[in-house]
Amino acid sequence: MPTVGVTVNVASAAAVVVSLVAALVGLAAAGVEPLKPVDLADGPFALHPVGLLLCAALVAECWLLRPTRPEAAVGLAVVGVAVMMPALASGAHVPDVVALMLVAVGPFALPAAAAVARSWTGQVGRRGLLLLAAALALASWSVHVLGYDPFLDPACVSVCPDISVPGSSVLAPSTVLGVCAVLATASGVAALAAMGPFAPPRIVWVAAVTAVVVFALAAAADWLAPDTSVAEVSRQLGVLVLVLACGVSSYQVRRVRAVVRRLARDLAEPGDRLGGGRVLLSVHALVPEDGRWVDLDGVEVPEPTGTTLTLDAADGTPAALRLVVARPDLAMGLAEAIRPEEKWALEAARLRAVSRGRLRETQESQRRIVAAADREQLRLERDLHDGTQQQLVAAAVQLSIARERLGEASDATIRAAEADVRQALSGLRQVARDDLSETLMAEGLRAAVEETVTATSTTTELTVSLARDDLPPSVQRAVAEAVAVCLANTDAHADARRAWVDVHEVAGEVLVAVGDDGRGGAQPGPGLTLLSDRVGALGGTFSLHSPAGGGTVVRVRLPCA
Amino acid sequence: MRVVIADDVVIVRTGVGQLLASAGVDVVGEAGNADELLRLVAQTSPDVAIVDIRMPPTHKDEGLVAARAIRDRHPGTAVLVLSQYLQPRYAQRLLQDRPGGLGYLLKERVTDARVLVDALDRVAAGECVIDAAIVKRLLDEERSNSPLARLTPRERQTLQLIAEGRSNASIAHRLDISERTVESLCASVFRKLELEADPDVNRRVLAVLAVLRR
Repeated sequence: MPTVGVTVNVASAAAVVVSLVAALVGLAAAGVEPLKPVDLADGPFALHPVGLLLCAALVAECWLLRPTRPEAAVGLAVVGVAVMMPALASGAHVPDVVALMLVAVGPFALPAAAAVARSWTGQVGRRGLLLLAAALALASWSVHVLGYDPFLDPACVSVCPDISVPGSSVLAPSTVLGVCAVLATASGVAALAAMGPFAPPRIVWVAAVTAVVVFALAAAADWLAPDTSVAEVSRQLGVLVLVLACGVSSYQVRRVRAVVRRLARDLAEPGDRLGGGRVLLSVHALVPEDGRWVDLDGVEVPEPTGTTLTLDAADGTPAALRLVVARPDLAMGLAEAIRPEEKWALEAARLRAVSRGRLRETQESQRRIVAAADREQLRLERDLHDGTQQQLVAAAVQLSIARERLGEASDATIRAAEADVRQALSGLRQVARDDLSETLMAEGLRAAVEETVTATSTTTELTVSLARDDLPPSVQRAVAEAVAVCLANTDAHADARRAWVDVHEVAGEVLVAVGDDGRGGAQPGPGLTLLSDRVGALGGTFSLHSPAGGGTVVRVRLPCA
Repeated sequence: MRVVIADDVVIVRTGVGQLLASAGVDVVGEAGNADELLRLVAQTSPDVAIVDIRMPPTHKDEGLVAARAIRDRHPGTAVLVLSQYLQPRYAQRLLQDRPGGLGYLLKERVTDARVLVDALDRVAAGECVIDAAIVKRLLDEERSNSPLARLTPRERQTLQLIAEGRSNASIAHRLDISERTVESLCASVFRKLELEADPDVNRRVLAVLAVLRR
């Protein structure tokens, strides 16, 4: 979270600075010399059309930024007011002391106003204040440097002497302003240094670079050819470029913010298309430990093609979240545009995806274990039926032949051996459970369930309603096991007069209910526990309802979509 | 009587062959799988084919399929199916359409020459034979709406023995009663199962079917 917090603060502070620079450059370009007396009879707003254009741009920018960066919008508005201060100070009826106060205090009024704005948005921390100081120090530095046009009037000799203030005998106003400028610069640099490394969003860079270029061009023009229209034209062009750049960047910020807002909203409503679908393709989460990327449903995803944006998790896990973006232009600044509450929405989605991914993996392995157990049981049954049983049959046959040959002389030992082998055969049939998987494979679920019901000694009513025959084998097996285990329990423990089995399919699920009117009070034994495991592995649910004296009902729900 | 044996385990089929030979049955051929069996039956036209249910390649119900094919193509050859399973389902599947000339025994019965030869005689005579254990299992189940529920315990025992393919004399011996009593018990069973006075053999087969269908 700190990273985003810092960048948001930096963004807003930088927006203030840039807008201020823009405003002043614009004023200068408009030919309004802030500290020259202006005839107030023309009214304080009798500005050059470019100045008006700038004001309009400022208002528009405030409006654009208002819903997404309220602090930046307020900052810009404050800048607008501050820009007017020097103009007011130059009014003919303004006393010198007030004029100097307006001029000198104007820039420093910015911190106060912006601090109010920022505390109003409730986001001022220690770091935030440092950033604010940096921004506003830069702002006042800019006012001084730009206000006095240091390239034409480096020591403020032409403007400052016109202003008389108390104590000017000790320190010339130009010296005071110079010291202020140096102090402001120093505090700005110190504050920036205290912030540590940060990545300002693109809008800051665009605006700052444009501003510097414009300012440098205008200054160079002034320096090389003073009092020519070249400087004037270059300034005006520069201002237009700057306003345009700021506007485009603001619009970009707003669009990216809209994407993030939609993303946060969509995350709160699972199943919806993410971020409007066209911009944000998908959100992936990294499952820690095994390094798999999963989508929001926990399904493993391959390495995506296209632009991806990797974010840190809110708990500090680096690069734990990945946004796949269809439009690279909107990917820029996306990470910075995520506000704290949205970051938490993303975190909730990440945790959900990770836990689903883990659950899937666990169910997968549970399924593999159950399937391995089934395979092993089948193998054992087959080995017993096709191997041991055949050998025993062969042995019994040989014994019979021996007995026949000996006729009356046959030994009691042979007869005893024969009896032993028959008993072994009968015992073997008990051990190697006949049929379930065989019937299931050979004849399908319905036949297997019917067979189980037939073999049940309690009178059992069977209802089967399956829309299709191609249920997944694991689901068929689970249904057959459920019926077999429950009816075996009914036979063995319930002391029931009648039982019922209901298997039906509804909306992608198979519902199995096995009940009896027996004594109830059943506790899950090994059979039901294994059944519950089997059902859990398939993502289904298992419930046992068995009040003492009230019969027993087992319900199993299995997804089979 | 001429018999062929189909079982994929050599030691079992040769053993059964010897056993039957010593009991005076003429074993005219042995087969290790369903295809061999069908060829053998076509060549030798035996009275009875003894078929193990589990045969290659899948060891599931190849024998059952072969048994049906034999009944379809060679009506003169009766089939005695041997099964590892106590479940009545295979028997029901096999016998429900045309039970005459068909038998269904548990595999281990082949070790008892007397039972085996008896069953061979019965199926060769066009009757239907079901393993005693399976018949017992079917009859043990109570179905209140079945005609079987109307039978007295004695009649039930009689029906069980009929289904196992036993003759009246054998039943009389088993139940320790006179053959006349057996006859009257049979008549009573047939009446309660609403079986018309057809020739005796057919009624016996129909009685077995009644057990299978419940």
